[in-house]
Amino acid sequence: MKRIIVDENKCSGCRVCEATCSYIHEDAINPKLSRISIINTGVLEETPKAVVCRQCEEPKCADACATGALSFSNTKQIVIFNEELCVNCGLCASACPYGAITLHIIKGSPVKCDLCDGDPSCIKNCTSKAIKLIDSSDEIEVRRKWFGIS
Amino acid sequence: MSKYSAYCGKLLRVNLTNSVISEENIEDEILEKYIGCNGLGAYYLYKETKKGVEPLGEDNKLIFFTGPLTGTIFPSAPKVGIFSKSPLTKGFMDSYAGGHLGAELKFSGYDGLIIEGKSEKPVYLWINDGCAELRDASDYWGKTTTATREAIKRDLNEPLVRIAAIGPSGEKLVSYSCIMVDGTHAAGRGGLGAIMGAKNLKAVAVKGTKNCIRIAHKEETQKIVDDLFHEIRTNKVLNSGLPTYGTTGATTANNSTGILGTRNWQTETFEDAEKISNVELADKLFEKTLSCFQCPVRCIHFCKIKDGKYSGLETVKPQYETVYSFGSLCGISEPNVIAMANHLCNEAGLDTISVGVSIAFIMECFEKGILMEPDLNGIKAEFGNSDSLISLLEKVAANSGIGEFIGQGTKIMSEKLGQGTEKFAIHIKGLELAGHSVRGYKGMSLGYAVSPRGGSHQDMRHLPERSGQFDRRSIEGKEQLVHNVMATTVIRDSFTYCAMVEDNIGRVGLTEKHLNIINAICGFNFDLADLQKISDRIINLERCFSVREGMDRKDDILPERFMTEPIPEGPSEGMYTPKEELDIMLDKYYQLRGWDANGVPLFETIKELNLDDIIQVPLR
Repeated sequence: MKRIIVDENKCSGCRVCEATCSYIHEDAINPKLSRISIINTGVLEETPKAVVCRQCEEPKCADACATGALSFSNTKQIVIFNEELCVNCGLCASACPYGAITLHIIKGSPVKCDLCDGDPSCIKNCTSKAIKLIDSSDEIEVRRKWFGIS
Repeated sequence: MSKYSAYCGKLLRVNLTNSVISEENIEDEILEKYIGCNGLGAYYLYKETKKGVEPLGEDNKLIFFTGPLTGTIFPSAPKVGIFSKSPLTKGFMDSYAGGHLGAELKFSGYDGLIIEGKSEKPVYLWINDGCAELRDASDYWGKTTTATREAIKRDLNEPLVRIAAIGPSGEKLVSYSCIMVDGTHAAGRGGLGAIMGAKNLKAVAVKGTKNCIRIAHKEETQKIVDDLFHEIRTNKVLNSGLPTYGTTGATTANNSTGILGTRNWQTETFEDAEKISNVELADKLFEKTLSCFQCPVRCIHFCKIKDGKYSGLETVKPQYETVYSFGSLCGISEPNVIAMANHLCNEAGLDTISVGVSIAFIMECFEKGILMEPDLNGIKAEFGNSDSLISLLEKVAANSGIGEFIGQGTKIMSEKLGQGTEKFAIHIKGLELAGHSVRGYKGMSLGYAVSPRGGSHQDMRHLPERSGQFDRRSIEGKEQLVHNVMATTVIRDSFTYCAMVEDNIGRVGLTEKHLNIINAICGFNFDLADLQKISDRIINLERCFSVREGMDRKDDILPERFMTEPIPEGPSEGMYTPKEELDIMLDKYYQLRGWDANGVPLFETIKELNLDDIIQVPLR
């Protein structure tokens, strides 16, 4: 599966990725409308940490969704969102164990990374080159399966 | 809501006397006249304070404003400006801090804050996504800025909240106390921290997740933003120099031109400049690169002292101005000591420039035998004595002993001491001088003299002369240069973008770039003449404020050292600006500005700039 990862040692915490993401997808700049968040508490010795959708092959958000608006696409290798099916219940955001889904300020629908059709704007705009698109299995799911954790 | 994009169109008014907090709209007509940040700060401060307002009194106001570019996709525009009547200069003061607070305030729904009155007990202001309250800060009174931020985050259970706070120095009304923004930025100049202290306001904490910022013209804006990002990423200084060294490269550059303030500006070359160079500092101190909101330049560094004195100290790295003020100016050649001095200032909430210049003044008094060890609590205040520097600084931070005297600033100290110390009191209008030579650039001589703030390098800029674009040794045409540069700095501070990218947008005179940015992002229909008039309006309004408070030509004066003592050595040897030269430049500058021979804006100038709505009668 494809997903975005952030090298936290390279990240300077500028949040250009957040502003760009929000603006490209929503025509507005707001951190809650960004699919990626840089968690930077301002404590100097702390490294900024990134939170973004992991594109799980067995997504908890899709399990929680009663209408099938969220699902893993085998062809695209990401979790896709079908807005037409969404009833804005918000259960997906609560279900995501990674906190990678926020709810749209106006619509209430999930705000989650769609990898910009394979060419993520956050990567293009990261001056520190901290953000990468990788195509590999999810280490968390691999470990779960390997050790028989359900 | 404003018809113009990128604004919230609202400000928050906080009355600390009666704890009433209210929202107000900012009329479009006011945005058209003043644009944002610097302009709006000047407008509200002039309009809402009375002549003779006591800087540390209940009637003075403390105003925060963002600019229209803050919180947008425009790169390197994170700043929040803070405005008030200064306790140090008794004139108009504006100081700007980077970081994430400005964007957070806009995401919370406000372009700015007006804080008035005085609280009975210590409080902090908590702005939570469009809801605001005053909370008890009694337990935080006396805490350093970092301890205060940590305590507030725990109190609110909000680790991401952005905070502007004062330290113990602001509480004790030290006249050059700063306001620290998060741990990495300061609205440093002019004693704005003392105003917060006088109002019993320990901090302002902001969370913003609800407000959406919109752009007027998408295509034009995207092109402007893409082009500027490209320029930043392909520019050696912006993409390599600043992310590696911050602004500390200026130390050796200024030294090699013979314009590095050394030992209280007795000389302008420092024999140990290489020991405090950018390369040395980066090697000994700098760790991870950090940045402000939406800024690809990344000029900030987490700093850790790796070995030697104060080994293990973790802090934010000093920028050039601090390397100047505690380094060459005090004759100190140890990077660790400069980092520690910077750290003590950040924690106590002190302006590193003003306190460094004030201590250098004390050191020269000591050298000349005007002040002795017993006068200085037993501290041997020699140039180059790093233990003495730190001891004096600790006294200032605690506002105790000789520190109480030093904390009044260079102007008051020299007035109290007399004995010819006025000659080497390095301030303009009471504000201690930044690290860019007065004598070494004729344009800076005039620019510093007429700077509304005083000894600030952010009104007039030294770079057009340092780069060789203009002849630094000639007074010819400098009135026009200062006029043109100050047009761009006041627009920079109104838009608000950072000085780091001002060269890319235009540093000498307003350009189509300035115009296209503001029209594309906000949807104005300005032409260049409109923008020029706005910059003239703001500059004049700041001047009118200071004139109203008693300033005029007599205050547009340089420290006596720079008017009487030529630079004694080095590549700029012999340069100085005698009063006669300054007077020639002042006459021409006043004329160009539409001011009388005493430096007072003529009433016809005030009317021409449509300032007569708030200045109804001639000032003199």
